Amino acid sequence: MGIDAAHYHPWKTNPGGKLGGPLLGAWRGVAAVVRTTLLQLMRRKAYWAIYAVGISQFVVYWVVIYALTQLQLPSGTQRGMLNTFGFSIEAADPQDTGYLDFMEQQSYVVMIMLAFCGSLVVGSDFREGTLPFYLSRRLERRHYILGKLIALVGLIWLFTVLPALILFLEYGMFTTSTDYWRANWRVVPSILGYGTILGVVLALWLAAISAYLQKLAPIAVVWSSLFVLLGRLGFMLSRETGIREWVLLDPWKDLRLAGRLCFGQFRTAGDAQLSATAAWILICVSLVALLALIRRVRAVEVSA
Amino acid sequence: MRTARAFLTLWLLSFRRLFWSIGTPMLLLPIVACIMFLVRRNYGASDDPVQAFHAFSMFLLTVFASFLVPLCALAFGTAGLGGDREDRTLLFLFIRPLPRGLILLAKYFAALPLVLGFTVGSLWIFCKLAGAPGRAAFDAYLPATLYMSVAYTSLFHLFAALVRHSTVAALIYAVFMEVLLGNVPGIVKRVAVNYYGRSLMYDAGVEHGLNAPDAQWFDPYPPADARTALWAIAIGALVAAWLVFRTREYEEPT
Repeated sequence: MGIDAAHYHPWKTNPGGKLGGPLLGAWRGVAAVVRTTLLQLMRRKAYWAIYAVGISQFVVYWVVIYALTQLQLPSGTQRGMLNTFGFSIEAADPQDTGYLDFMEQQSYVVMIMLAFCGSLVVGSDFREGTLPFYLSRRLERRHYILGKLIALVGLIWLFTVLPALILFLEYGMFTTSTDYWRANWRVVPSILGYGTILGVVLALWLAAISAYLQKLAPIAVVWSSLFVLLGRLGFMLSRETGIREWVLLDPWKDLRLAGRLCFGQFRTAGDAQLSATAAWILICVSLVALLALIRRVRAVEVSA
Repeated sequence: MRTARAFLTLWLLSFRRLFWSIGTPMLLLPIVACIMFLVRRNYGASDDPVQAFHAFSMFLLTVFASFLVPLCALAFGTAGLGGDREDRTLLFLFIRPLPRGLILLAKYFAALPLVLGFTVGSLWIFCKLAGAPGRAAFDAYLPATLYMSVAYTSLFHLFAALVRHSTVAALIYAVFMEVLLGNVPGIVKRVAVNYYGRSLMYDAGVEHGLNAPDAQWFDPYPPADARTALWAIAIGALVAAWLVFRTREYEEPT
């Protein structure tokens, strides 16, 4: 078999002899890793089953926005719906955080989706020995890590950022002018900002955990312990001891507080005070996860 | 005789593989987190024993019964048969001189002692750490823990026989569906294992000081019926898993 038939050849060089220039070349490998990862995942029926569960929340919010903007609801009902879902009927109400509430409520389904993805897109590369094949191409460790992280961020955005942006578009389209969009233009960068925090933090943590644990069951145990158990323990400690900082044990709470920094809206004054600490916790743990991931991704594993 | 020996060999092999898997130390992490919580909270130091029992029971209801018990069953219940499906090693089991039903039973009985060991063991440790309220709680809540462990293990074996990514199905069920269904008003919560387990725990704990929940949100099932329901789930799920596993042509044997 010729070497071309195996598609094993370097990236095309430019006249200067460099591999495709500074922006192309091996960086195309990042796109290839992203594409392969997404395709690997999206051909699974289980992924679409989880997506169907995740999108049900979006449908609920879609119907709520439709009802709020199009139907003549009794004022009590309308007020109740606004309070429950966090939307405002006024064009420029600073309390309009329904999009953030939606992204927060996607947490459980994002957690389950990521537990499934971790084993499939990162763990399997280590378990089935695919990693040396990736790194034997014109790819370096940073390209592989970046490609996997971008793919995971993309998957998280499919559940959170994209539906939130569609809901924002929907709200504006159901009104009689473009006032809603113009008055609330800050919602878009806020959604993108919160989505970036959510995506980067969760992708880093998941990639690091999956690289070490590799199989689905232990990943699911650790992942759900992180995001369910710590939340419950933190809440109970905070309530029973009166020390509010215990809620920061919950990674979702930290993500929400950091996300609300983007929106500039907090439920209580206490939340505003804790948000900086929450952001620091996320930064520190994410740095540890990144270092652990870099250490784990090696072309050749040397065993004693 | 040869079949019995093959069954015992598979049971022992499966038990060893599950016990020495990475899932075992990972399962210790949430238990250690709970131990740290109990040491910090120190229920035994409370002046009011009734209030201490109530607070410790709430910890057992919301953390132990609702999260740790299903998690232990998930870690071992889906990893037995589900692990072979994910690793595509089912064919190596099918070519052994052992009926499919016995393969399933060997996997089930390999997982069950581990699940029971972790759930009962962690309950014992938690109760020891809780001091005086823990002593009453261990005797009161042990039967509910046993029933729930057996029911979850059977149910997750059914998931493993039915779907390839059974861990995800079990996770959706334990973390998402049970929380959703177990806390809504009406009779829809009767499809959740956790509902029957919590009913047994409430029944056992009320005499020691556990406050009965608001009937509008949680109407406990009669204890005798709850025990029957958990047995029915355990046996029904195992029989259903046996029927599925016996007849199904798996697409991913290797």
